[in-house]
Amino acid sequence: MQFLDNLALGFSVAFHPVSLLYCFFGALLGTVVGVLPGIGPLAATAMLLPLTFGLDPVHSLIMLAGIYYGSQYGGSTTAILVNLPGESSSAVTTIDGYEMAKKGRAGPALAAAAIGSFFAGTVATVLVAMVAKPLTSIAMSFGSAEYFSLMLVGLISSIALASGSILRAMAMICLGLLLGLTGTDVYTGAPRFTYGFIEMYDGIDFVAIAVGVYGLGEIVRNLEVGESSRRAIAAAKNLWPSREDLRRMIGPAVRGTAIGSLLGVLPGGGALLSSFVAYNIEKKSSPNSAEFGHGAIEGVTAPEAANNAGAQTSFIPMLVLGLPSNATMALMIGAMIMQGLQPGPSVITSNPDIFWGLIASMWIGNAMLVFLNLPLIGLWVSLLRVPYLVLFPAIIAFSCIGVYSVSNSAFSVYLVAVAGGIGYMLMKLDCEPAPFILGFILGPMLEEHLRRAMLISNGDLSVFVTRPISAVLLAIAVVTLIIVGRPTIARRRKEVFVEEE
Amino acid sequence: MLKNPKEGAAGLFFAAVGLLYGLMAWSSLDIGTALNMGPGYFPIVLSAIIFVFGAMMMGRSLVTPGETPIGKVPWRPLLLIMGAPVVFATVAEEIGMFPAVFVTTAVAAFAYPGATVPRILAISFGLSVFCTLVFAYAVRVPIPVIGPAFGEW
Repeated sequence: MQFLDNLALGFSVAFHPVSLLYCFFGALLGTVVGVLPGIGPLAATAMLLPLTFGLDPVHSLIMLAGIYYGSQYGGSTTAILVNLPGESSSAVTTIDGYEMAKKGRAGPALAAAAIGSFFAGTVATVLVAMVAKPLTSIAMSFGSAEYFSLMLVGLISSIALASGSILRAMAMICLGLLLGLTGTDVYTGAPRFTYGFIEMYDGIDFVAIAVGVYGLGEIVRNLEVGESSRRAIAAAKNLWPSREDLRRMIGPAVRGTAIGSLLGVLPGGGALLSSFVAYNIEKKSSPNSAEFGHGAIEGVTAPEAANNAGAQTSFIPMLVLGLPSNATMALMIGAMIMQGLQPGPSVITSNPDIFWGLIASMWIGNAMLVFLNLPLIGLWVSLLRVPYLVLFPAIIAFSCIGVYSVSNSAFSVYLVAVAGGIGYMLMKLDCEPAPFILGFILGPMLEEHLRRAMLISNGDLSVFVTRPISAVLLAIAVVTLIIVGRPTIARRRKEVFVEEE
Repeated sequence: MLKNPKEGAAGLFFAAVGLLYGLMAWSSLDIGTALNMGPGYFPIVLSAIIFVFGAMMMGRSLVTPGETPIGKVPWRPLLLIMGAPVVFATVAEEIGMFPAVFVTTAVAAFAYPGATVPRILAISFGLSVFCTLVFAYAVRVPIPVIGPAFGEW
């Protein structure tokens, strides 16, 4: 059982007291920021990124992983207590979670979310450890054509996550790809779309875009709807679920984990998709389906388990292929590069301690959330009582300082304003940012692999269909596009997303 | 006539961006061939696709009626919230962390409907103290606490 040895190596790194400390700080800070309304894991990770700069590679990645889980958990807490999803993947949790909270069962709902997530995290950690090694050997055989086709699958599946029209989602993907190309062309050194700014020769700062669109844009929207829409905070007493609750959680936790683990691998935001799918499956199959929407504990457990399993397995494409499966992973890759690590199939052999240490600390991060964060619920609730007038200027100050320190230049801070303004306008026109962000991340890689594949094949486009893995991936992309484009599915998609509101 | 203003506006935006980037790539970048793509090849393809998508949206907005109007743009919060980082970027290096956070948060806080000046000043002061302690002293972000604009300290 080689993967057990590897896990043991990982745990020896992650259980080191210093590692534990950073993991704890990460989880704690992540939760603090994640609980703040309107800040999802992406904005939270972007804001807290500078805190990890001074650390060595292992600890900075461990801390980042802690921040990631913490902020996700924080998002679920606000979803349950105030009916405000901190991020889109906990949007489903609000449906039954907030209903439970209104009935005075906020405690069991929070526990269900934490326990479901922990269970999913445990299973998914083992899964990642088992498949990572075999997958890296497959990944070694990936050529440019395969990378290109895989990214296409990811981009197209991100359409399924946007609630608006498919045409607009596709336009947003292409816009993301195009803007992602900003900067010096790797082959010829020609500057592209830099408008003459030296600062843009390395591309547009991704952290600035993430903070602008998700952080500041959200503030404007909150201010727009006004204070009245801020909902009552449910009290959380009596944390532990009853025996009956626990019994009802088992099935959904297992199914949610399975769905999340599978969909999480998909590049293109699997964590979000999996929580929707898990919720709908439970709703259809549960004997208590009548209770769904009125505070069914299954409706909290399943999506939270799925969401967390997905978050975990979304590390697979990043660790194995160096491909980010969502925007937060792109930040992690950025952090790895800043630490002098080139993500990809070689990390597992060149830096086994980092690779396995990161996987082990995913699990530890999850455990910390259950054993340390759950008892701190009172603290999170009091954070939610901070008046918005204090909160949003604080978010803006943190964002400015954070973005400044990532790039050490004021230029990126200007970009925050530009990205936020344009992003807000586009959201007003029902153009959602998620497909854009994915396109933006994948743009340079997509172009590079396309150019390389064409060079290798002597300009013959058929290389994408004659290589078997690439052909299968392209077929998946086409089928996905047809499925999301069918009118019945389009209508269903709308229903799913309307339900969340 | 325009039946779906949201779709129409989005279409106009995408068509304009496609056109702008397409022209920029066309005029300044080498296109190359499919075998050996230049730096302009992929951008031009993308710009063309974006332009076509934008044109399709504009066409559709004339035919299919939209569900909702665009709605009012909340100019005050939008300008103040997006203005705050601009203020920070402009002055931070000159005046330093403490005063920069004070000004930035004060500008942002004015976006809040009904916020009074004393409250805003109190909140900004508190946040400046907090950010200075956390980011200047604990994390050591390379911005001076009080910048060179105030002379030598």
